Amino acid sequence: MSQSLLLALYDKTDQAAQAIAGLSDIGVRDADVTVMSSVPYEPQMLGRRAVDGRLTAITLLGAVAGLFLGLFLTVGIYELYPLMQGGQPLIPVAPSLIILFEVTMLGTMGSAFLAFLVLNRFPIFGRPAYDLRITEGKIGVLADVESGQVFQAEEVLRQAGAVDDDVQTLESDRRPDRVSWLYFAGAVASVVVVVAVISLLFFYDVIRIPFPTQMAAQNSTAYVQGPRRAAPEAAVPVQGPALIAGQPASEPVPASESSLQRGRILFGIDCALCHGQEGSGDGPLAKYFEPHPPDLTAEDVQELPDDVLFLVLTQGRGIMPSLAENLSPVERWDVINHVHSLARNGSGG
Amino acid sequence: MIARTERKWTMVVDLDKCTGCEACVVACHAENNVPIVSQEQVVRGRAMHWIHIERYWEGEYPNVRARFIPLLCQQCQRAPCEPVCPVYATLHSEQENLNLQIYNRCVGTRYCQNNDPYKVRFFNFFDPVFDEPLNEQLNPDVTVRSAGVMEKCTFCVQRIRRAEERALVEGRALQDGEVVPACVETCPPSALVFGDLLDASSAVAQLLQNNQRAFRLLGHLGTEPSIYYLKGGTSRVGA
Amino acid sequence: MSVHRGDGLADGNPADGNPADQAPSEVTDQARQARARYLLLDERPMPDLVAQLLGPMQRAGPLYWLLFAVLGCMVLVAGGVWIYQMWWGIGITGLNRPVMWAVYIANFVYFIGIGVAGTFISAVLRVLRFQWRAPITRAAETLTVFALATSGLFPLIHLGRTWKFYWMLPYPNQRRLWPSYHSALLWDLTAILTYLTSSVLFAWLVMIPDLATVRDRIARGWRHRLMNVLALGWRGTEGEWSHLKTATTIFSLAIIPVMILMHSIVGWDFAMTIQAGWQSTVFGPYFVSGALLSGAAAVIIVLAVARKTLHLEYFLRAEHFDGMGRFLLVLSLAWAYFYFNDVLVPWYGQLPVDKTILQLFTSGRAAPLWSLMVFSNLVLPAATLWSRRVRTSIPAMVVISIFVNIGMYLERYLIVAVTLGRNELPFDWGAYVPHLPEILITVGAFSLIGFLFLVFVKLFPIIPIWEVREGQMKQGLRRIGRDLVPTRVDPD
Repeated sequence: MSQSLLLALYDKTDQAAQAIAGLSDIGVRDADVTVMSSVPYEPQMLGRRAVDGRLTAITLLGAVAGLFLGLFLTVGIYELYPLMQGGQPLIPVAPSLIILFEVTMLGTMGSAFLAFLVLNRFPIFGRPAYDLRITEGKIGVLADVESGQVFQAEEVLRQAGAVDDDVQTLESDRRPDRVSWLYFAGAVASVVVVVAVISLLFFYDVIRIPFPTQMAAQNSTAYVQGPRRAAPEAAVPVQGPALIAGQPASEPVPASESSLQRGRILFGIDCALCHGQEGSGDGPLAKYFEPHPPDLTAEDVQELPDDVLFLVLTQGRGIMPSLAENLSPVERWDVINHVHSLARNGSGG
Repeated sequence: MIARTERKWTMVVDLDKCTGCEACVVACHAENNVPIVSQEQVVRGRAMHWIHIERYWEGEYPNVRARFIPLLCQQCQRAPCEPVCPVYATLHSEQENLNLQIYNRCVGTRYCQNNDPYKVRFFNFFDPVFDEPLNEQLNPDVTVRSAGVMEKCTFCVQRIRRAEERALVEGRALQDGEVVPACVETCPPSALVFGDLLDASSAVAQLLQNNQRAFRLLGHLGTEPSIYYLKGGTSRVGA
Repeated sequence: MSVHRGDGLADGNPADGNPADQAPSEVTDQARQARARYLLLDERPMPDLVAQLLGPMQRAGPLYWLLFAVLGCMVLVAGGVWIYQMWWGIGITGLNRPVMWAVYIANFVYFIGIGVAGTFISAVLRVLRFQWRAPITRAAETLTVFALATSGLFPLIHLGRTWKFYWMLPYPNQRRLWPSYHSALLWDLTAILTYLTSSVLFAWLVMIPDLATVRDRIARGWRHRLMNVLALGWRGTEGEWSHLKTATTIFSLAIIPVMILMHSIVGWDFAMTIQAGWQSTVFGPYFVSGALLSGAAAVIIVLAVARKTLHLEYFLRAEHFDGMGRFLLVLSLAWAYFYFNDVLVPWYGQLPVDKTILQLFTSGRAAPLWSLMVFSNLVLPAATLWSRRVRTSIPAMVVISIFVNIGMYLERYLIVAVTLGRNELPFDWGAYVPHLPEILITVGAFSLIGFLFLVFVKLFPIIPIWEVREGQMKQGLRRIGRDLVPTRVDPD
């Protein structure tokens, strides 16, 4: 049994009502008749039954979902990650009510809109039966009749006063393409889920982006990592070894054989783990530190005044700790002498 | 987690001893890397002094008197500045009963300053500038804030933490007088006293016991500040 | 006059007894005058209506392009100033300690206020079945959306570190840091998100049938493709209409409390503090009444401009301005009531800091601004809007509305920037002067709304045709027994 689509346009509502009544008389089911118009007519005006109210039900579900989301945001988060502020209780009741209300409303209206789209199967794919003159103010009556009743139906439609006495017969492919809509809806839903999942991967550092943070690059610590400035003439020291212009911070030890030997042993104990046995900055722990321990045989280290090296050992520099507790002043000079010898000899001396 | 004893850090300001010399202001700048803004900015009302001397003139010339009071963050127990921060950049430390300011969380809504009745919060309107060689005077224990961040007195929380850690490492209790904020350390007439109110033997506890002169600023607002002022002899501040 | 069965809608067929063909008589003249005054009896066939709307939509004269260029430039300048401010810091503005909030927050409050009236006209009047609202709803809804979008920029503009604004959003993160709902700013954020989203969806929802009309009338080109996509394939079937009406009802009912709460929350931004002059329990309803007042005035201005430039005299009649004028009068009196509340209580309490603020407003440096505010918001509307002649005179309504807007802007400015300069400790008092960045950004914000409107009117129909025709039809519906019968009135 094949079906035919018949479309007739009318100027007035009673003409359309007459056509619909006539179709019902010849046995066309109510569900096979569609009325299209440019203004919303009350169904009773055309002798039709009202459409069921599923949209309200879906909206209520959306409201409940919004309520739960609001509860999570206000109660759930506070309970999970408590932080105290201003003597207020952990879960502020009145503000929480505000948020609950707002999020519930968002859920309500968002789901009303979504329900509207879904129930109408918007956006419509395919080329459903339609006539441009409907938005000129005509009322369209579309009948889906069995081939046996086509002639009768055409008569009924024409007698009711169709515009131009014309009843169009449309090809059967002029129905909305529900399958495409399903694919479309599925695609949209998948995109939303994928975007949410990928966002979470980034938020929880599963995919780690090494964002540069400026927290470590502080003005207040930068000078500690750079070459030390010599104190001005006649500056008064406060505490600790100070650089007095023209004099070393403490009496240096000459680079004798015994000093170099002591220095080599002490270097192996205290320095080699980070700076490497040869002082080239390749110790076993070197790769764990950012910035890496420098190559002590390089020119920029070797050219530093001994006083500066002494201060580095005494006070530390950047992430390098102070070795004041490990090495006495004489031992620090021994290590400095050894470091200089590393550069001279290229390999340990 | 390291268990810590609860502290109630309290400061007592003896207005009879305070001479208004502003050494505390300078010390605070030095200790906490507080920027100096230009003269033009000060005229526009953007001076940044975590502790400052509020001075009022009374009387007509030549019988003029200055009334002054050192004003710093009151470290309220029911701080009005805390609940208004949308990102939890200012919150309450239950352990130390301090009002914390987290610089790297602040997004700069400036709501906290609006709700602060003492107006002791300061906003970095520009990036602070520390000309050489003053940048070498900066305290490496304290963050240098950038433009758009709110800051205020922290009771030198870096000194509190360092003292607590030292006591913990050495396996002993914290002694009274070990934690000394910069302003307290500098004050020439020792008008500022700092300590743990929960420690009955501390200087602040002793000072405040049955002290008729003690009052708190804007107490009627119910903010419960941690700073007690002792009324001066004839200055009539707070009377 | 006789009443007979027939659609309340004109079908363009003169043989059906167009009154113009009948012999003139007094009754006919009166009827003709009545039709001229009341939109609902002076129908035109739909093709004429649509042609009248589509014409201006598709043409753009030199004036339009000039405005487009000027407003566009001002928006770009404002954007540049914002970027400059983000680079250098908030210090380029006039803000200081203690005035930490000023023009940006006043703008925020002001623009949200404008948005509220649009929702009122669209939702409240729809629920109350005021048919005269039909032609003006879309302009009002659009104003809401644009005003909200513009105002939503200002919390970002006023942030010290704008690039970290997303920390105020509750997104799951490995640091487990969430925003604090203790703070009124978070209520603001949630409310704006809800209100803006709902307003956009609502505006789109009720526009779909008209988008379909435009899609059908303009058969090809980029406009057709745009309408095709946005109309979602609307055909006007019973199911579609039924769902549209249900959804519209749900939206209307739900968005009304959201609208009221939105502006209450904006008022609570201030009321939650203990700042003198801000800590007032009346701020919730006070701000709602002020928002409705400024919004209604803004809608009047938009309607007057649209009527003139798009030749919408058929749709926007003197009756509409009369109705809006009455609305404006009521709102002005309501605002005055709440403002009196807000002034009476602190004046009576005579607390020093409250007294200082009141003195500052009434006789101090802020007195000129304050007087202008009271004049614009209360004196002028209350003195003029009683007269029907004033209400139906469109130039007069525009002038009054402009004054009301100026007055409401001043009210926000006084509350935010001037009040903050006074507090409990006189040593920390301050004054605020707007600097060039704030002025440029404010001008840019106004230009943005105008610019968005310029773009909108060329893309979408500004009059909701289907709602106008529905109103005409409903006016002609009569109940005979249990049937609803469409009728039409004809003078004999």
